[in-house]
Amino acid sequence: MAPLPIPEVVSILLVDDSLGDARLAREALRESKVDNAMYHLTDGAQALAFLRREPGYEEATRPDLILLDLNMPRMDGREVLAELKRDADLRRIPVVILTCSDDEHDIRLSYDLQANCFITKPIDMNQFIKVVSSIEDFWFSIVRLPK
Amino acid sequence: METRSPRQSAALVNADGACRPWSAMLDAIDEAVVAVDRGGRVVALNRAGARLTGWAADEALGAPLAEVFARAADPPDPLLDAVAAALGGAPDAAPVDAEVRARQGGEPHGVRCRVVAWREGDALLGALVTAVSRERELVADRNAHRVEERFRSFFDDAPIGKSMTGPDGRLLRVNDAFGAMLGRSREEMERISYADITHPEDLEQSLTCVTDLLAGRADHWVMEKRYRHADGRYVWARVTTAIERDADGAPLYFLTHAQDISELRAQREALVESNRELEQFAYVASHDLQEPLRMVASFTQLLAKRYGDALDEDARDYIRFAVDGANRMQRLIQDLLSYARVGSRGRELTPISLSGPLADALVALQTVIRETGAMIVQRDLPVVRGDRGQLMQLFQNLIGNAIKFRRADEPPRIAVSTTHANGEWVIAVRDNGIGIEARYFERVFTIFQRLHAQHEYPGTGIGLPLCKRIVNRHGGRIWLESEPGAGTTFYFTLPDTVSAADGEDK
Repeated sequence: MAPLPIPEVVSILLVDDSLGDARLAREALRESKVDNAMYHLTDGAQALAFLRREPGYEEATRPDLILLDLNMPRMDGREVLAELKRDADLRRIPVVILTCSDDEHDIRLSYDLQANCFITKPIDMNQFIKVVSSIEDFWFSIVRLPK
Repeated sequence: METRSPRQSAALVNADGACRPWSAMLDAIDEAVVAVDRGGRVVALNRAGARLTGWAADEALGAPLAEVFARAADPPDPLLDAVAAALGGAPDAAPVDAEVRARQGGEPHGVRCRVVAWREGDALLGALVTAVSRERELVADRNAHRVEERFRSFFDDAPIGKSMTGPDGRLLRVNDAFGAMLGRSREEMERISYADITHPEDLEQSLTCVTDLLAGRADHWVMEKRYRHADGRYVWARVTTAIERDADGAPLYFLTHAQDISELRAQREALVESNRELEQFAYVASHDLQEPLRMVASFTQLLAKRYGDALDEDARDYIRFAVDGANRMQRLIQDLLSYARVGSRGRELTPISLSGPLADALVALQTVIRETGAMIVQRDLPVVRGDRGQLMQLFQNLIGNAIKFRRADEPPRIAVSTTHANGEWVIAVRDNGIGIEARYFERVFTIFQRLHAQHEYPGTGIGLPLCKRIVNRHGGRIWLESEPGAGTTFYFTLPDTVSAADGEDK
């Protein structure tokens, strides 16, 4: 298999109200072999504003991948996901649900709303870091994304 | 007695032989029978008559009736009057009560007599008198009366509501308790129909009950329904209705018992609500507790990873304790979450073969099974109504326990078998492990109760309580038999609803 062209810098949007998880994700990405830029926002309303380049986010970068938590204050991940998949342009950005929940109901709902995959945050730190690197590896080294 | 018998029998008039069977029959009955001629003289007396009067049958022959049936009181004598009337050609009259004093004296004896004219063809030969002791009649009357009185009191004075409703729905009779339950007088109740006091939403159910009973599809019917109280509110009652029919099977009335269960229902609803809240609380609390704990564990681990080399042995020890504590807490929360989920997140129970969840459990346990060389045999697992995920958890915990508490000198051997008793499946999970002392048989099913120190056998103390909750949710029971050193057998039951529904007997 011919190696996929690796983009020079990939950008990842993490939407999660947990500062700790954001920091762990950043630690994991720091050790990555892919050059990446991670943007972190802590609620759904901010995330939509960012993606739509609304006032305050006019200069926002369009992410190549979205890591989305489900349980957040104000607008939660489910609503963000529904909004994104209704948007003809934004719906092409893959969305990985990365959440504490392992609830069957949440899993079903997420896939119904067209999430690209659902991952329960591992409890163990080393596992968590491994999962984040696997996500990055899969979406940027294996999968072909639209230009 | 036997020797007197021929004489007595012979006393029957014109004993020409043809009458013998009749005279024998007359002697056999308890009722006194006497025949008199047109002059009022005795011509026959049966054995019961002889006993009543104290006259031997042959002695009585020819004696006036008034003498044989010695009067206890002065005239008028209703019996003699009735005999005189019959001899005078009057139609047969109603029974008359009279008193007879025996020839030997003693207390007068009350009798009820019937007098009929004695005819052969057109000829009036005399009169026939039958007499039966009134005492016996009175006793029978009194008994009948007592039974009726007892039934009346059973109905009227019962502490729960009772009613008799006609097939047309009108309340024929109610007791005070029923009236009190609905704040209405008995008189008021007896003017209305059951539909007037039934909640509109319960009418259909009541109607089904009535039609089923009328059609003979059921002989009684139990339901919970709401009655309208006089003040407009509704009273919940547990109602049992049966139908009474006459000898030909035509419906007479419905007999209803109604017990006020408003308070019971309110308590039941409060309990359900409180259970639901508790489950919700445990679920949310566990979820929200996990997040900060993950932070503690993760960053302590990160600290060790990044700066471990710069720290001394003590500092690395402290970090290990912190991480270990956080990890244990996480397992506790995880287990607590599973425990809370048995009730709140359970799936609907559907028919499944128990071998499915058992196989799932063995897959989940494959590493530890391989490591310990455990042998697991299974026989004849039934089809039950169950939640596959929960039943897998049940087997995983029971078999996981059996492996965890194995003997040092022997690889674990575990047998899963099934018996059937009293409409239930009894599943046994037997091991050859270290066993449990009898005094702990109950305690192992209590949440957070552990029998071993963490460093001997790690665990959270939720495994068996979780099993109990799962079994209870499936309508079964769980218990154990064990002896230290001789292994343990866990038993749990599951209702055999599958074959019961098919009407099979297994």
